[in-house]
Amino acid sequence: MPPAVAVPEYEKELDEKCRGEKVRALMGSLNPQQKRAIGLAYFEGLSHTEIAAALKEPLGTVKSWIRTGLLRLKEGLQATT
Amino acid sequence: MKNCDQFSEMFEAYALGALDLGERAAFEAHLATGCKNCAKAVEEERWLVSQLAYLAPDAAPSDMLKGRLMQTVRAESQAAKRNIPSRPAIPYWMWAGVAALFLATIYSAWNAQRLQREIERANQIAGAILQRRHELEIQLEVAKREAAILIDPASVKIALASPDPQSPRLEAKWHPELGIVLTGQKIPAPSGNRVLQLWLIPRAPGGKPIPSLTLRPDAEGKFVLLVSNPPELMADTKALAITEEPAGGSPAPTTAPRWVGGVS
Repeated sequence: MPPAVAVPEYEKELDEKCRGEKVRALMGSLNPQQKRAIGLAYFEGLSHTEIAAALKEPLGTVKSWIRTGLLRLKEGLQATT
Repeated sequence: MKNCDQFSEMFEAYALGALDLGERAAFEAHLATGCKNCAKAVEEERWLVSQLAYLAPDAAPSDMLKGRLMQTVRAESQAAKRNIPSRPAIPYWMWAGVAALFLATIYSAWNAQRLQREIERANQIAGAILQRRHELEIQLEVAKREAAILIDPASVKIALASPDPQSPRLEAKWHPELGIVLTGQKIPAPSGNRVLQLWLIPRAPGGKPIPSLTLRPDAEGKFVLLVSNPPELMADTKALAITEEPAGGSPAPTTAPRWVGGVS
């Protein structure tokens, strides 16, 4: 099912068929730490502190990985319009 | 806006669900104030996060995620089980209180009725005792007066004889102030409900017999009759007579006298 959230304008321009490929490509462009941290949060449901403990990395570093990773993903999706 | 600035770096992590409890509570409190800027930013980040679902084919749920999901489901299930009985509309202790009050009310009502019955029974017994005491007091007074009449030298002895030589004699004692005591022994009982009635025969010529009390001998033929207030003065009475009359007595003799005794 499509997510029940507000859809930004640039999303409407994005071809549904290629969206998945685009998302995967953008995620692939992130560094491994960013991918790992976002994956633990999204798929494992871990919080910042839990991810930091799991990866044995400082909390601030983990927060930065997640935020910069998602910002790069957003920029990449916006750039497709 | 200053408040928004401090949360601006949390939008992505909040949409991702990665904020720790303290940060998440603070941010949600800010959202609850109705900040439209932050709400709009969060909506966009949620859409962004939703796009991560396209990564799902390459990412099967890990054992850790399964474990966390099952732990969450079990915890919520147990919490629901605990909460359902622990939060009834009316707490159990209140039901217990209501039941106790109900039972106490029933017991009190039953106890009150029981006490009321006991009081009524006690009152009846007390009434019967008082009545019996009153009767005994009367009997005692009668016996005292009879004894006084019988032993007082001022009393006049009157022997009543019967025309029938087989019939026993009666004896009366008349005290001028205390009255008359009439006694008899081995007196045959009148037939049926008939009674023996005492008459005072006036000394005045032509005077009609004055009716007095009636009596019936007991099973052994005994009787003691006290006439506390004779209907005539001893000085004005010529004789005492006894006739057999219907139950309740008669205003005038209906039979011939069975005993007669002159008053000297």
